[in-house]
Amino acid sequence: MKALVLFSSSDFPLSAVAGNIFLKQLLSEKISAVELLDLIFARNDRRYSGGRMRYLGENRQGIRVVAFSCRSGKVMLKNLITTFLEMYGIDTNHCRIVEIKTPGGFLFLMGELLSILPPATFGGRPLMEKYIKKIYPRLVETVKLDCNFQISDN
Amino acid sequence: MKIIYHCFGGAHSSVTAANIHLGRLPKDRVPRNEELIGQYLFDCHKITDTGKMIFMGRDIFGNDIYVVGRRSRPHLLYNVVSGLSDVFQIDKNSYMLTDVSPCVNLTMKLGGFMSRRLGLITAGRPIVTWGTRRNYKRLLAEVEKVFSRLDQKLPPDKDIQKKFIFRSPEVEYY
Repeated sequence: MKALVLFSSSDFPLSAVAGNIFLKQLLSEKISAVELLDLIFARNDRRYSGGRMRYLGENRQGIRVVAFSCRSGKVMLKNLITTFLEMYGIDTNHCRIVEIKTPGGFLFLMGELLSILPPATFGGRPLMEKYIKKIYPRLVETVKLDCNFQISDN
Repeated sequence: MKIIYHCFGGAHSSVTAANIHLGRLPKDRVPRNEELIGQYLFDCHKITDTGKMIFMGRDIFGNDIYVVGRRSRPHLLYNVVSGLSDVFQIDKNSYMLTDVSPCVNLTMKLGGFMSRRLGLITAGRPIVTWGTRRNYKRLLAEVEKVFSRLDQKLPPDKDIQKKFIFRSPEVEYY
Protein backbone atom coordinates (compact mmCIF):
# COMPACT_ATOMS: atom_id res chain seq x y z
CA MET A 1 0.00 0.00 0.00
CA LYS A 2 1.29 3.41 -0.93
CA ALA A 3 0.28 6.69 0.59
CA LEU A 4 0.89 10.32 -0.08
CA VAL A 5 0.96 12.42 3.07
CA LEU A 6 0.60 16.15 2.46
CA PHE A 7 0.98 18.71 5.20
CA SER A 8 0.97 22.47 5.49
CA SER A 9 1.54 24.90 8.31
CA SER A 10 -1.59 26.85 7.61
CA ASP A 11 -5.08 26.78 9.03
CA PHE A 12 -6.33 27.05 5.51
CA PRO A 13 -6.54 23.53 4.01
CA LEU A 14 -3.87 24.02 1.37
CA SER A 15 -2.68 20.45 1.71
CA ALA A 16 -6.21 19.23 1.04
CA VAL A 17 -6.37 21.41 -2.08
CA ALA A 18 -3.03 19.98 -3.26
CA GLY A 19 -4.32 16.49 -2.59
CA ASN A 20 -7.38 17.18 -4.68
CA ILE A 21 -5.17 18.40 -7.50
CA PHE A 22 -3.15 15.19 -7.26
CA LEU A 23 -6.31 13.12 -7.37
CA LYS A 24 -7.46 15.18 -10.34
CA GLN A 25 -10.59 16.20 -8.51
CA LEU A 26 -9.44 19.73 -9.18
CA LEU A 27 -8.10 20.88 -12.49
CA SER A 28 -4.41 21.49 -12.74
CA GLU A 29 -5.07 24.40 -15.08
CA LYS A 30 -6.34 27.72 -13.92
CA ILE A 31 -9.45 27.57 -11.83
CA SER A 32 -11.55 30.46 -10.69
CA ALA A 33 -10.68 31.55 -7.16
CA VAL A 34 -14.36 32.02 -6.38
CA GLU A 35 -15.16 28.47 -7.42
CA LEU A 36 -12.25 27.06 -5.48
CA LEU A 37 -13.12 28.90 -2.31
CA ASP A 38 -16.75 27.81 -2.64
CA LEU A 39 -15.61 24.24 -3.07
CA ILE A 40 -13.38 24.37 0.01
CA PHE A 41 -16.17 25.76 2.14
CA ALA A 42 -18.65 23.27 0.72
CA ARG A 43 -16.37 20.30 1.33
CA ASN A 44 -15.89 21.43 4.90
CA ASP A 45 -12.13 21.01 4.54
CA ARG A 46 -11.49 23.70 7.10
CA ARG A 47 -12.81 21.50 9.89
CA TYR A 48 -9.68 19.40 9.56
CA SER A 49 -7.23 21.82 11.11
CA GLY A 50 -5.08 21.36 14.22
CA GLY A 51 -3.43 18.23 12.83
CA ARG A 52 -6.66 16.37 12.11
CA MET A 53 -6.21 14.02 9.22
CA ARG A 54 -8.21 14.53 6.06
CA TYR A 55 -8.52 11.39 3.99
CA LEU A 56 -8.99 12.49 0.41
CA GLY A 57 -9.24 9.22 -1.42
CA GLU A 58 -7.29 6.85 -3.57
CA ASN A 59 -6.08 7.33 -7.14
CA ARG A 60 -6.04 4.76 -9.96
CA GLN A 61 -2.65 3.41 -8.93
CA GLY A 62 -3.96 2.73 -5.44
CA ILE A 63 -2.12 5.60 -3.77
CA ARG A 64 -3.99 6.83 -0.74
CA VAL A 65 -3.91 10.57 -0.24
CA VAL A 66 -4.16 12.18 3.18
CA ALA A 67 -3.70 15.77 4.26
CA PHE A 68 -2.75 17.45 7.51
CA SER A 69 -2.98 21.14 8.26
CA CYS A 70 -1.86 22.92 11.35
CA ARG A 71 -1.16 26.58 11.93
CA SER A 72 2.50 27.41 12.57
CA GLY A 73 3.46 23.85 13.33
CA LYS A 74 5.70 23.17 10.37
CA VAL A 75 8.74 21.61 12.06
CA MET A 76 6.71 19.76 14.63
CA LEU A 77 4.22 18.36 12.13
CA LYS A 78 6.97 17.17 9.83
CA ASN A 79 8.92 15.58 12.69
CA LEU A 80 5.83 13.90 14.11
CA ILE A 81 4.81 12.39 10.79
CA THR A 82 8.28 11.23 9.75
CA THR A 83 9.33 9.80 13.10
CA PHE A 84 6.05 8.03 13.73
CA LEU A 85 6.18 6.35 10.34
CA GLU A 86 9.84 5.43 10.81
CA MET A 87 8.95 4.00 14.20
CA TYR A 88 6.71 1.51 12.43
CA GLY A 89 9.18 0.90 9.62
CA ILE A 90 7.14 2.61 6.91
CA ASP A 91 9.77 3.82 4.48
CA THR A 92 9.78 6.22 1.54
CA ASN A 93 8.90 3.46 -0.91
CA HIS A 94 5.50 3.15 0.70
CA CYS A 95 4.93 6.67 1.73
CA ARG A 96 5.79 10.08 0.39
CA ILE A 97 5.64 13.05 2.72
CA VAL A 98 5.26 16.38 0.99
CA GLU A 99 5.29 19.77 2.62
CA ILE A 100 3.05 22.38 1.06
CA LYS A 101 4.77 25.70 1.59
CA THR A 102 2.56 28.67 2.22
CA PRO A 103 3.98 31.96 1.08
CA GLY A 104 1.69 34.94 1.22
CA GLY A 105 -0.34 33.66 4.12
CA PHE A 106 -0.71 37.20 5.40
CA LEU A 107 -3.36 37.99 2.81
CA PHE A 108 -5.35 35.01 3.89
CA LEU A 109 -5.01 35.84 7.57
CA MET A 110 -6.21 39.37 6.90
CA GLY A 111 -9.09 38.02 4.84
CA GLU A 112 -10.08 35.62 7.56
CA LEU A 113 -9.91 38.32 10.20
CA LEU A 114 -12.00 40.67 8.10
CA SER A 115 -14.56 37.98 7.41
CA ILE A 116 -15.02 37.50 11.16
CA LEU A 117 -15.30 41.17 12.07
CA PRO A 118 -18.93 42.24 11.57
CA PRO A 119 -18.35 45.69 10.03
CA ALA A 120 -15.93 44.36 7.41
CA THR A 121 -17.27 40.91 6.56
CA PHE A 122 -17.68 41.84 2.91
CA GLY A 123 -13.96 42.68 2.64
CA GLY A 124 -12.67 39.34 3.85
CA ARG A 125 -13.74 37.14 1.02
CA PRO A 126 -12.02 39.12 -1.80
CA LEU A 127 -8.76 39.01 0.12
CA MET A 128 -9.04 35.26 0.55
CA GLU A 129 -9.79 34.89 -3.13
CA LYS A 130 -6.72 36.95 -3.94
CA TYR A 131 -4.66 34.66 -1.76
CA ILE A 132 -6.03 31.55 -3.41
CA LYS A 133 -5.43 33.00 -6.85
CA LYS A 134 -1.82 33.66 -5.91
CA ILE A 135 -1.19 30.30 -4.30
CA TYR A 136 -2.94 27.97 -6.76
CA PRO A 137 -0.25 27.85 -9.50
CA ARG A 138 2.34 27.09 -6.81
CA LEU A 139 0.23 24.24 -5.51
CA VAL A 140 -0.04 22.79 -8.99
CA GLU A 141 3.73 23.11 -9.38
CA THR A 142 4.37 21.42 -6.04
CA VAL A 143 2.05 18.55 -6.92
CA LYS A 144 3.80 18.09 -10.27
CA LEU A 145 7.29 18.14 -8.79
CA ASP A 146 7.00 16.52 -5.38
CA CYS A 147 4.03 14.17 -5.44
CA ASN A 148 5.48 11.83 -8.02
CA PHE A 149 5.86 8.29 -6.78
CA GLN A 150 7.70 7.11 -9.88
CA ILE A 151 10.54 9.50 -9.13
CA SER A 152 10.90 8.11 -5.61
CA ASP A 153 10.83 4.51 -6.79
CA ASN A 154 13.67 5.04 -9.21
CA MET B 1 4.08 -2.05 22.82
CA LYS B 2 5.53 1.39 22.22
CA ILE B 3 5.23 3.78 25.12
CA ILE B 4 5.61 7.44 24.24
CA TYR B 5 6.14 9.91 27.06
CA HIS B 6 5.39 13.45 26.00
CA CYS B 7 5.68 16.86 27.58
CA PHE B 8 6.24 20.47 26.52
CA GLY B 9 9.87 20.35 25.45
CA GLY B 10 10.73 16.67 25.67
CA ALA B 11 13.92 17.47 27.54
CA HIS B 12 13.27 17.01 31.24
CA SER B 13 10.05 15.52 32.62
CA SER B 14 9.46 13.03 29.81
CA VAL B 15 13.13 12.06 29.73
CA THR B 16 13.13 11.53 33.51
CA ALA B 17 9.92 9.49 33.33
CA ALA B 18 11.37 7.36 30.52
CA ASN B 19 14.57 6.78 32.47
CA ILE B 20 12.56 5.80 35.56
CA HIS B 21 10.60 3.41 33.38
CA LEU B 22 13.81 1.92 32.02
CA GLY B 23 15.27 1.52 35.50
CA ARG B 24 18.07 3.99 35.00
CA LEU B 25 16.88 6.04 37.97
CA PRO B 26 16.09 4.79 41.49
CA LYS B 27 12.55 4.14 42.64
CA ASP B 28 13.07 4.01 46.37
CA ARG B 29 14.61 7.45 46.81
CA VAL B 30 14.94 10.82 45.10
CA PRO B 31 18.07 10.79 42.95
CA ARG B 32 20.97 13.12 43.58
CA ASN B 33 21.60 16.12 41.36
CA GLU B 34 24.47 14.40 39.56
CA GLU B 35 22.31 11.36 38.84
CA LEU B 36 19.61 13.52 37.27
CA ILE B 37 21.99 15.65 35.25
CA GLY B 38 23.92 12.58 34.15
CA GLN B 39 20.86 10.66 32.98
CA TYR B 40 20.51 9.79 29.35
CA LEU B 41 19.32 12.73 27.18
CA PHE B 42 18.42 14.97 30.13
CA ASP B 43 18.43 18.64 29.09
CA CYS B 44 19.69 17.80 25.59
CA HIS B 45 16.67 18.53 23.43
CA LYS B 46 16.90 21.32 20.85
CA ILE B 47 14.02 23.36 19.46
CA THR B 48 14.44 21.67 16.07
CA ASP B 49 13.85 18.31 17.78
CA THR B 50 10.27 19.28 18.65
CA GLY B 51 7.96 16.54 17.50
CA LYS B 52 10.73 13.96 17.06
CA MET B 53 9.96 10.67 18.74
CA ILE B 54 13.28 9.72 20.26
CA PHE B 55 13.99 6.15 21.19
CA MET B 56 15.16 5.84 24.79
CA GLY B 57 15.49 2.09 25.16
CA ARG B 58 13.61 -1.15 25.70
CA ASP B 59 12.29 -2.15 29.11
CA ILE B 60 12.49 -5.65 30.60
CA PHE B 61 9.01 -6.49 29.28
CA GLY B 62 10.05 -5.70 25.73
CA ASN B 63 8.25 -2.36 25.47
CA ASP B 64 9.97 0.33 23.41
CA ILE B 65 10.18 3.64 25.23
CA TYR B 66 10.14 6.95 23.37
CA VAL B 67 10.03 10.60 24.35
CA VAL B 68 8.63 13.50 22.39
CA GLY B 69 8.31 17.23 22.92
CA ARG B 70 5.09 18.64 21.55
CA ARG B 71 5.07 22.24 22.84
CA SER B 72 1.65 23.25 24.15
CA ARG B 73 -0.20 21.16 21.56
CA PRO B 74 -0.95 17.70 22.84
CA HIS B 75 -3.99 17.59 20.56
CA LEU B 76 -1.70 17.86 17.54
CA LEU B 77 0.27 14.82 18.66
CA TYR B 78 -2.91 12.82 19.34
CA ASN B 79 -4.50 13.84 16.05
CA VAL B 80 -1.47 13.07 13.91
CA VAL B 81 -0.73 9.74 15.56
CA SER B 82 -4.35 8.65 15.40
CA GLY B 83 -4.72 9.78 11.78
CA LEU B 84 -1.59 7.99 10.61
CA SER B 85 -2.64 4.85 12.45
CA ASP B 86 -5.90 4.88 10.53
CA VAL B 87 -4.24 5.32 7.15
CA PHE B 88 -1.46 2.78 7.61
CA GLN B 89 -3.64 0.34 9.56
CA ILE B 90 -1.47 0.49 12.65
CA ASP B 91 -3.05 -1.10 15.68
CA LYS B 92 -3.97 1.66 18.11
CA ASN B 93 -3.26 -0.68 20.99
CA SER B 94 0.34 -1.04 19.85
CA TYR B 95 1.30 2.32 21.32
CA MET B 96 0.49 4.31 24.42
CA LEU B 97 0.80 8.07 24.73
CA THR B 98 1.52 9.29 28.24
CA ASP B 99 1.35 12.96 29.09
CA VAL B 100 3.77 13.84 31.88
CA SER B 101 3.29 17.60 31.68
CA PRO B 102 1.00 17.63 34.77
CA CYS B 103 4.12 16.61 36.72
CA VAL B 104 5.96 19.76 35.69
CA ASN B 105 6.21 22.49 38.28
CA LEU B 106 7.02 26.17 37.89
CA THR B 107 10.68 25.67 38.80
CA MET B 108 11.09 23.12 36.03
CA LYS B 109 9.39 25.44 33.57
CA LEU B 110 11.64 28.33 34.53
CA GLY B 111 14.84 26.27 34.50
CA GLY B 112 13.89 24.55 31.27
CA PHE B 113 13.11 27.85 29.58
CA MET B 114 16.44 29.33 30.69
CA SER B 115 18.45 26.30 29.66
CA ARG B 116 16.76 25.29 26.42
CA ARG B 117 15.29 28.49 25.04
CA LEU B 118 17.65 31.16 26.29
CA GLY B 119 20.74 28.97 26.24
CA LEU B 120 21.62 29.86 29.83
CA ILE B 121 22.64 26.31 30.67
CA THR B 122 24.85 27.18 33.65
CA ALA B 123 21.97 28.90 35.39
CA GLY B 124 19.02 26.96 34.01
CA ARG B 125 20.19 23.39 34.45
CA PRO B 126 20.56 23.49 38.28
CA ILE B 127 17.12 25.10 38.55
CA VAL B 128 15.42 22.50 36.38
CA THR B 129 17.26 19.73 38.22
CA TRP B 130 16.07 21.09 41.56
CA GLY B 131 12.53 21.27 40.23
CA THR B 132 12.74 17.70 38.93
CA ARG B 133 13.92 16.47 42.34
CA ARG B 134 10.96 18.21 43.98
CA ASN B 135 8.48 16.54 41.62
CA TYR B 136 10.28 13.23 41.33
CA LYS B 137 7.62 11.33 43.26
CA ARG B 138 4.89 12.57 40.96
CA LEU B 139 6.88 11.39 37.96
CA LEU B 140 7.38 8.06 39.66
CA ALA B 141 3.63 7.80 40.28
CA GLU B 142 2.98 8.56 36.61
CA VAL B 143 5.33 5.77 35.53
CA GLU B 144 3.66 3.40 37.97
CA LYS B 145 0.33 4.31 36.40
CA VAL B 146 1.73 3.32 33.01
CA PHE B 147 2.83 -0.03 34.39
CA SER B 148 -0.58 -0.59 35.96
CA ARG B 149 -2.26 0.22 32.64
CA LEU B 150 -0.02 -2.37 31.04
CA ASP B 151 -0.96 -4.88 33.74
CA GLN B 152 2.70 -5.09 34.57
CA LYS B 153 4.48 -4.24 37.76
CA LEU B 154 7.33 -1.79 38.13
CA PRO B 155 10.18 -4.15 38.97
CA PRO B 156 12.38 -3.48 42.00
CA ASP B 157 15.68 -1.73 41.40
CA LYS B 158 17.76 -4.87 41.96
CA ASP B 159 16.17 -6.82 39.11
CA ILE B 160 16.53 -3.95 36.69
CA GLN B 161 20.17 -3.36 37.57
CA LYS B 162 20.94 -6.96 36.62
CA LYS B 163 19.26 -6.60 33.27
CA PHE B 164 20.59 -3.20 32.35
CA ILE B 165 24.03 -3.16 33.81
CA PHE B 166 25.76 -4.23 30.61
CA ARG B 167 23.31 -2.60 28.26
CA SER B 168 24.50 0.66 26.85
CA PRO B 169 21.83 3.21 26.06
CA GLU B 170 20.78 2.83 22.48
CA VAL B 171 21.09 6.17 20.79
CA GLU B 172 18.71 6.26 17.89
CA TYR B 173 17.41 9.48 16.56
CA TYR B 174 14.48 8.88 14.32
